Amino acid sequence: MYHYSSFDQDFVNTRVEQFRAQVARRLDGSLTEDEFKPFRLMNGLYLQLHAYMLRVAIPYGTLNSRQMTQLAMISERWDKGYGHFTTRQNIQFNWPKLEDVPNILEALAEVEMHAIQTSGNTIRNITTDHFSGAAADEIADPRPIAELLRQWSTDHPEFQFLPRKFKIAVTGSAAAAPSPALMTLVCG
Amino acid sequence: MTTLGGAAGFEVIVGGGLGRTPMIGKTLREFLPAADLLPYVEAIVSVYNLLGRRDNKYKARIKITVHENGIEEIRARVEARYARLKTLFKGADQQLLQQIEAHFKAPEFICEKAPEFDAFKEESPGFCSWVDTNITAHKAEGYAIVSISLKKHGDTPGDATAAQMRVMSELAKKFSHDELRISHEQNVILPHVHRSDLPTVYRALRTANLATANIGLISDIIACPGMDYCALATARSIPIAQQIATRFAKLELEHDVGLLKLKISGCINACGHHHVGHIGILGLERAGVESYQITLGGDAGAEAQLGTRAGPGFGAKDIVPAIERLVLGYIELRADADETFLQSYQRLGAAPFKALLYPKEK
Repeated sequence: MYHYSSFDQDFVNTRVEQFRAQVARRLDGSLTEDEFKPFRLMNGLYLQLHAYMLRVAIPYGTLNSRQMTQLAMISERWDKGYGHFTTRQNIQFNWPKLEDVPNILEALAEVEMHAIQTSGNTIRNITTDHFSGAAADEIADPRPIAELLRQWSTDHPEFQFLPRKFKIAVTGSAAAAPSPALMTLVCG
Repeated sequence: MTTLGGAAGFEVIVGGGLGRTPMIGKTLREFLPAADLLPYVEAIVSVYNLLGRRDNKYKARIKITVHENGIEEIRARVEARYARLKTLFKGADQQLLQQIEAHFKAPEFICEKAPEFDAFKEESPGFCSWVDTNITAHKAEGYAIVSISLKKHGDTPGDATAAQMRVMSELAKKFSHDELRISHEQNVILPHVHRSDLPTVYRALRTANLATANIGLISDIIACPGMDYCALATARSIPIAQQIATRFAKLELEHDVGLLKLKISGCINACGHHHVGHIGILGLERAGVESYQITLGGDAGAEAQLGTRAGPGFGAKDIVPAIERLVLGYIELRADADETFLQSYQRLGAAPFKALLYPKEK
């Protein structure tokens, strides 16, 4: 699976520190919740019924064992000991405290993960077939294309404030294809 | 992609989506050469960025842009933008793609027969049942794809505890070339497991309450967080999912019922994909009370189909018995044990299924 280049790692680390400063300003009262909202939404942090909720991107639904272990650690250390896997192949933590979120993002960055563009009117996490790279009836593995799209869409300067959220899926499944030579790209 | 030779490429579909205005996507391009993907997608998003409505949040998604302007107009604009953008992409994207592809080389599979597997299958009916529902054919001989169900009867769909995450992590490391996948159906996949390791994997999963044999069955429910968590929700989803799963576990019928996709959303935003459930449940609020509307005949498969509303909603206490009548009635209606719920519905139409849901009305 994909491993971060130094560019990717620097970018994610920088975003963690940027958000840490924004959270500090929220906590000391220099930002109101309304002022803070666009910043937290750029980092996947929602305010739900009872608590903040952090949605972590799992790019095209692929994880390695180290990343899964880190999600377990995060859920125990900063949440209530569980996580919720979503229909968009992401994971949500339902009970993080605001002051802990920068540390959670730092822990994610340690294992090449982030929560960038999991909310807001941007291009969201790219989804693919969950059997990609393994399915017997696959035309081609869609994950390299999905990773290319992830890199292109992450922090794309033109597409940070779209009219509304934008979702892209790539499938290499023969069952979904109109012809046996084609993969399918879906924009919605 | 290169293995496909000169024909490598994409069909590009645009403007599909669920939510409060569900729509099936339309084909924007029947064939896009693989190498032109990025300029073409950039053209789509760029056209949407300018043309998409910003006056009304509920009309702002690209599906509405496509619907209001027509696919022909969108196509003309995208093609014009693409013609300009294409000249600006000078190959850097394709070089990057090559580097990325190197990261995704298939693991070195050991293709050999698996003797232990068959012996254990005969010994353990639980294992046998799990293999029937949770294993999918792998492209490499001797391997299998394992779907780990996060839908143990009575649990919250898609939730995993820290201990369960560690078990899955450990199994991926030892038995699945260090890879895991998350499915849109809120389950976890071990994509590359040698068939001879399946009994060991099964036993470890069983110990962690992760060996529920229900993938694709009625208790393998997609459910959004609903009013237990979500600020947008109008009804609870999780308890309905838990009650349906528990009820069908008690009836011991779900393996007989077979393939049945049940999907629950706790509001019209449809995070639980109810529009494309064979049975969809939409939780609404009517005068301060939860009301659950049933849709039938949706399909998220290759022949994407939106479900049709069956009739008036059911209260929180009545929804599970209604689903039970519907599914037990289907068993009587189906042509044979191989005809799925969706196939029966497509063959017979909505009327007999509505009669099951609303017995007094006809």
